[in-house]
Amino acid sequence: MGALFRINKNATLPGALNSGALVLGAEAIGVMTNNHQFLLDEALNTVPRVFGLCDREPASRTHGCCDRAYWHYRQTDFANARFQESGLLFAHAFVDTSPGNQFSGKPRLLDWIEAVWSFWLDRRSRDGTVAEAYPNERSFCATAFTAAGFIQTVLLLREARDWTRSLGRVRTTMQWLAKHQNPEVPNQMAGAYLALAGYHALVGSAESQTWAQQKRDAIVALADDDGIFNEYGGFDSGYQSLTMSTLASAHDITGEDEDIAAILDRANATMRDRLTTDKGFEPAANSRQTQYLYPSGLIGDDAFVPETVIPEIERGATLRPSWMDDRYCIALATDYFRAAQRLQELAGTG
Amino acid sequence: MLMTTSKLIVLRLFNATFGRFAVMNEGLRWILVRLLIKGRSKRKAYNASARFFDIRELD
Repeated sequence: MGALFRINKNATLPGALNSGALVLGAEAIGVMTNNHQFLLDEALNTVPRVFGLCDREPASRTHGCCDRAYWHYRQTDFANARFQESGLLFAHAFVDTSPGNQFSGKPRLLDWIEAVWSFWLDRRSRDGTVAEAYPNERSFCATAFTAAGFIQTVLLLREARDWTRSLGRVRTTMQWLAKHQNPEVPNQMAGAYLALAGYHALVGSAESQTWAQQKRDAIVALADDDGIFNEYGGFDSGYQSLTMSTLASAHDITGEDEDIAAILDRANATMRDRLTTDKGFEPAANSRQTQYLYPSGLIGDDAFVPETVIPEIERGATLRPSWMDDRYCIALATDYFRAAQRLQELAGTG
Repeated sequence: MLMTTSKLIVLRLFNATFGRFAVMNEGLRWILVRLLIKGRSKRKAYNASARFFDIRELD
């Protein structure tokens, strides 16, 4: 598979828009600005709840752990690594400069973010993997998405803190992700690709380029002609949106990649055809009956997200982060931050 | 004291054997309360606080 793997040296924000010039009408800009605020409010309202999940006491042996059932209630004998993705959510809250964001630029928040990722780095297995459901699990899913969260945090905050030592320690995780595959679950493969692409953007070594390139080729091969990634043998709009969001974030880091851009274009066209108010937002229509939708990867230069997707979310057709009572609210709120940022940038380019 | 795999297994074994009898359960509870709560120094004593987020922590 031919590849155009090129690192965007100016990439700072995983959610930043790299799609070139866009021309938008004044009406579309107004809609995007209004809906950007809805997504931002949802994300910001989730942040304090996630703070409560994390051990913020520096003297604690579990400082930085975000699995409250482990560090506080002591109901489990290992920490679920997926909770550590809180570090990326906090990083978005830290860098967001919107009026009314009371977490923006707070030094204490920066300390917590560092503690979250230190805990994650410390609790990995010797081969760099992490556990989600049982000790020594070596979970591909948890390793991929937490590693992607760590890398995106470093990209967001590389000017605010020195991450050199942490990047040296995370190499084993990247090596493991490069060697292992889970083609039955494309969203996890996309997570691994995002981690490896971001890692290469940060360290720029020959091995990191090879790892990212190989994972990129693997994920490209999983897409069908419509840009759809089947989850457990069928179409699932929730997981498709997660895969698209993850690939779009990777694409923002790597810069031009014609194959990934083409997949995202085809997938967006398919999603616009399938996600209509009369037939597309029902969980029962999804292969895994997924109830959520990650909006950031669906945003294009049209009004589909502002005028169709977000009103459906507001109507209650899909889950919001503030409705979720488990760890998945963390990643969804993070995507709401990304989507709000993209909509704001689109409105700004008009 | 954090839960570990070995502690969890020992506790489960106790539950499945001696723990079937109320008097043994009460006896273990009596021991653990003195060992982990009353017997510890003030600084290390268990504090049943919720430890949820307080906006003043950011100041």
